[in-house]
Amino acid sequence: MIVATNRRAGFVSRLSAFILDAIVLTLVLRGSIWFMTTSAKGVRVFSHPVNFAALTAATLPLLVGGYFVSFWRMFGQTPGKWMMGLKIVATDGGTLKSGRSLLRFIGYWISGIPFYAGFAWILGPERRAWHDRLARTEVVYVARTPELSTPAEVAPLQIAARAARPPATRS
Amino acid sequence: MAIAISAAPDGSLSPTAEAAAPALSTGRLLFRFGIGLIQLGAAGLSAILREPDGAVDGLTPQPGSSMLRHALVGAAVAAPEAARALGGRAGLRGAQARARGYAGGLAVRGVGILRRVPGSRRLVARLDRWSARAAGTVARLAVDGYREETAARALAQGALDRLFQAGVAQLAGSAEVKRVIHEQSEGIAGEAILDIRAQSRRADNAVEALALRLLGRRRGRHAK
Repeated sequence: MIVATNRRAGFVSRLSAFILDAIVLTLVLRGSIWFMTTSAKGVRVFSHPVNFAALTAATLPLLVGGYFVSFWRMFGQTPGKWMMGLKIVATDGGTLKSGRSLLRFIGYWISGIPFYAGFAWILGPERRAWHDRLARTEVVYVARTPELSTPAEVAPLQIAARAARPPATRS
Repeated sequence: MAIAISAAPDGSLSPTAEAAAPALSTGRLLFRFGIGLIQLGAAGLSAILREPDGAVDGLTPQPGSSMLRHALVGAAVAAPEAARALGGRAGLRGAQARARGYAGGLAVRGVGILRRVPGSRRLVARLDRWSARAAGTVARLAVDGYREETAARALAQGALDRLFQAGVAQLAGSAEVKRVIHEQSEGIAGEAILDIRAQSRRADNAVEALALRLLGRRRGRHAK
């Protein structure tokens, strides 16, 4: 089972995840452009020629935004973050909603405008960039816990949980 | 598959055309398959053994317990040549040739004497017939053997190919093999990803420590 830890991820892991996402996006967009261009050649007699490369470039912010926001919303991590074992969680413990995901993506641009200074805040002791603070999120490491299947494995945990539970008060 | 064998005027045998295959018993097929296997195996082994195995000149044995074994092997290799040289020195080769000449002369003389014995002509004629019949039998057996070997080689080659194909198909279709390969691949990929993650986490701490040292700030609780 994969669980989020309480340790925030550092700069190298997050940069690596971002680079992996950039690679994935590039491959997907280039593949899509090739597919659409090839398809357009096949049906040119029925339609006006469209420059799909220019169209993709024009809509790039939307496409990139859609990629990040949808992945954050659905899984809490992009493919790059999954590869690097990272997950985005809300600081208040809730899941990442669409609005907060969109706000975080807008925060990306804000972090990047002053020569990516906002990203440098990841190097600080809090390990939170401007977009993390803006959207009240944090990027944490994920860890794999051992699968517990047999009663012998589960029983000690149940005993520990009962012991940790506060005693019931009579009203 | 049966293969027709024709004898050339010079006595050599060669396969010419395929003839209709008679139905063979299982035992005969197995025998043929065994012959083919032996032939193919011997040919393959011979090809492997004939391959150059690298230069051995200039190698010197290391002194030790293996020296005696090396010496014995060397003696066994050198023995035939030494025996030939010894025989040549002792004039054995000439003696052998002379002995052969004497024996031939004796045989010719013996036959000449026998021919003068009454009734010997009939006996000699009968011997000649037997000899001719024996030669014919040997030639027929040789043709049969050659035909059998050729068919056996073809049978074994085809059977081995089919066996190999069947083995590969069995492996490819086996759910157990697929599961093992899948698990192994997943394991390798998973280990590689875990290794990358661990390294990047170490790099996180190192880079952060460097940055904070440059800024003169203390490390946070997230760095370990």
